[in-house]
Amino acid sequence: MHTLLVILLSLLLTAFSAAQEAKIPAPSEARQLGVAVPDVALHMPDGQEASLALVWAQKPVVLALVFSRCSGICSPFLRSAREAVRGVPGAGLDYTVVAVSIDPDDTPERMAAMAKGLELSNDPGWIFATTDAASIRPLADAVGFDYRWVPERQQFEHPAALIGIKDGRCARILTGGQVTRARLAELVTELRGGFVSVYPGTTNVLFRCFDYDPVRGFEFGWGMLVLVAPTALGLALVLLIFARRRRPDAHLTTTHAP
Amino acid sequence: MTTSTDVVESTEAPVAAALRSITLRWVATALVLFPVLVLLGLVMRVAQSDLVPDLDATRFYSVMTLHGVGMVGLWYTAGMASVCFLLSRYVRVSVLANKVGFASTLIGVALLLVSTLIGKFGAGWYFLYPLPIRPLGAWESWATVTFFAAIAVLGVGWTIWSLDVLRAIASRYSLTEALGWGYLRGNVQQEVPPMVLITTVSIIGALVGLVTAVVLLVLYAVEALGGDAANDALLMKNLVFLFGHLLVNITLYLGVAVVYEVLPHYAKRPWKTNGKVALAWNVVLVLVMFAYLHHLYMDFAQLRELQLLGQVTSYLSSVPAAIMSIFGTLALVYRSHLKWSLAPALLFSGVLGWVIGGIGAVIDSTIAVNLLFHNTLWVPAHFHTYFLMGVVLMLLGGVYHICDKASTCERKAGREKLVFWLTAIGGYGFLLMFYIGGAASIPRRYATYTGNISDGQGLALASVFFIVLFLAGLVIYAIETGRRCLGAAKAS
Amino acid sequence: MTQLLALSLFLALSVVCAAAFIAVARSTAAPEDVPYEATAKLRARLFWVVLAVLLVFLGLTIPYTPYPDESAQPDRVVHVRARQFAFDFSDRPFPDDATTDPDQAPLTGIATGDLVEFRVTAMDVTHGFGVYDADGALLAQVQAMPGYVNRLRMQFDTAATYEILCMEYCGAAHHVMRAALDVEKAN
Repeated sequence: MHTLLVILLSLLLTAFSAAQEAKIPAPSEARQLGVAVPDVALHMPDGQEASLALVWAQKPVVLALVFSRCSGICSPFLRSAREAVRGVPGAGLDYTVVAVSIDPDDTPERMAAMAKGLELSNDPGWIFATTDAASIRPLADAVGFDYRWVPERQQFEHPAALIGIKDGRCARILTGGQVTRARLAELVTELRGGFVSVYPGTTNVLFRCFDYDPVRGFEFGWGMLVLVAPTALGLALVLLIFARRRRPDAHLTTTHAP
Repeated sequence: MTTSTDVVESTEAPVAAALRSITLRWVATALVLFPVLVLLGLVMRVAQSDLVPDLDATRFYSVMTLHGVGMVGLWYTAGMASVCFLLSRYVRVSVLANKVGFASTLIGVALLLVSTLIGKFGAGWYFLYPLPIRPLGAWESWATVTFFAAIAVLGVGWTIWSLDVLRAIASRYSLTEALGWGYLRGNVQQEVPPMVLITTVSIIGALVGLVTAVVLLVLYAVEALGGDAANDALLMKNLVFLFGHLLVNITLYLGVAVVYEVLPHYAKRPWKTNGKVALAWNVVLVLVMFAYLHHLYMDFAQLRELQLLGQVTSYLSSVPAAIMSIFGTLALVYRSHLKWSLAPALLFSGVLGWVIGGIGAVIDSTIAVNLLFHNTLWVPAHFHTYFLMGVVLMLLGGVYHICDKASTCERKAGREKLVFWLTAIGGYGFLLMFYIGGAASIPRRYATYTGNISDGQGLALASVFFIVLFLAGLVIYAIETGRRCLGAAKAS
Repeated sequence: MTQLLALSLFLALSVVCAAAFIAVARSTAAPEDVPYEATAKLRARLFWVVLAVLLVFLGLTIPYTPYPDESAQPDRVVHVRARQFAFDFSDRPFPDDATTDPDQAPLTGIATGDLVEFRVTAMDVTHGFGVYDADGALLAQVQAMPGYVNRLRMQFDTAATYEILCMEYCGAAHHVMRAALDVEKAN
């Protein structure tokens, strides 16, 4: 019964978030690519202060714009992002996920509570912070993230996106409420300077030549075996034929003419 | 060039009448099929030149497919038939296996004709995945099934035939002997003629290619029958070019084997296996497995290491060819007692075609150049040089030699000269239009040239003229050879 | 330009080889025994010459492979999806599900000098993505293969309308599969 309720609720939320997304378009990667992201202050709990530039100076940033009061997409979105991040090693080592609030009423403590709810409080790969009220809009604009306050619902209407920032510039944007491991791996790989060449098809692929895992890079797949098999089989046939006993034939020329 | 009616004395062991009869049947088939397939090529160039407007594009592409598969199959089998005949001096090849090859080829050709001309199947000769199963209404699925049935019949028949030729070689030589390793070690138990060495290398390559085709067909079948599972397009492309590139490369080597065997008769000098010849062909056997990678340069998703390997192996595979076979041909003929007639002239100029095609190929196998030449007319330019002015001339020379030996008809020097010059001028003129088209960025496999590539029309028109010249030479050749063929058939 | 260079090189080498063949063919008019040593010596020399020429060309051309240099950041990314028989362009990646209509956008706003990255994939069969200038010269190309994204990076020097042609035979209307690409002058 409880499970059913959760499923129903999440379905509802998804439907709701889909409706939300339809109203405000998600950021366009192509339009934002290479756009400079403004450096904004990051206020964290216990009075800790940092800035976005300080973070990206150390390692590439995966930015999520959220707010703690969100009754829609933010929580399921961050939960899926959390699962995806766990599947893509390197968070805290060579990339950092920064969740910044777009709500001027948010406080560092409320963001900390949000982190706690997601069991990410002490995770070195994640930063939950607020920024100065005046910095929110310029930051969101720079990454093409549109949002607006809807007074009757007391909510922000906004899309869901993960924005990859490398050296202070927009490098890659993933949109949609569900972050999958494969998509995040794609984003992180590109932040590291790599590229993902395999387009994830919906169909089941029989054998792949090269199993492409964006995190681990190229690996030879079963398909490579399929590619090598004919050569091996052909050579085996040849060996088999030549394994027979030979007998000389008197009728045949023994030397090469003329 | 002078021609001579001197009959070079035959040192051949008597060839079994049955083998001679099946070989003559191959020759007759080739003499009919080749001009017909050339005509299909002519039809395409006519359509592209806009001489005859409104050739239905679906028709164009099915003609293209028939022309491609037909030519590849025709010359592979012609090479095999010639090699079998010449090889019978050294080893006992089975006539039955030869007949299996012949029967499967006839059935395969019939199925191909139905599939392309009636069913309008038009996925091209290497049927790049997944076009055969996604024609978007251009042809029905029965045409695809018929096409694959044709490929399967040809594949099975040719595999049996190829296995038998290896069996024949194996009944006299060990594998290391047949590959000339004795020469490499300096320990030769019995002499291995180049014919045996090259045929062994070729058939090993051909077997790998044919097994690859089987794997390819199985993967297609699995997809067709196996529900929603699809194949990996990159894997399928690797497989199809491993198969296709091997098969056409091997066909060329069969022609080269004929040159090694027959040209010495005319030059009156021996061409024997030695350590260097053996090394060259062993290197070829390894490199030929990798050279196909140059077909995938423009798939940036392919592993970069494989791309670089493709350029390195494509470059290096020209070394043994240039040093041993091509230089060997020149050394064999240089200041020899060779009296020029049609057979040696065709064999010798076939080697020149191999050289020129090779230059075009090496240029195209350069990744940086391939960016601009891939799938332009440069591609058909270089492989038509290999085929039309290379292996086809070598085999036409070989066939002429075989028929000439078998019959007592007297040779007509004037007609022989005419054949040589018509095919040479027609062939190279036709090829030059392709090369210029490639350099002018005209894409290959276009039913019509419009807009910014309409220059292709004029080039196609010039090609038509040259193809007609070539065809005229070919018809005279067919008449002359046919005469001998008939004479030989009567004699036996 | 590269094409013309390649054609000239090809013709020059072919003529040299053909001349060698003709000279050898004519030499049979005066037959003579050629000592094996002389032939072997010439062959050894030829071996080193051929090998050296090939290695030099290998060294000269390998740096010009078209595979993207990971370190450079493109100014524009254009997603391209080829299908029988058209090209779709979009600002964002095409959805995984091939049946969904993409969020198509006209291909505009590319300026001269921009480092443009085309991310090319295919929906149905393998296609090719060839970029031609207004004179019909091929500038660059990449294959479009279902299940894979190929990245082609290029810069346009002149403002003009370029044409995209399909470079891999893809079916009955392959020869009319085209798209236009406008490049504006950079401010």
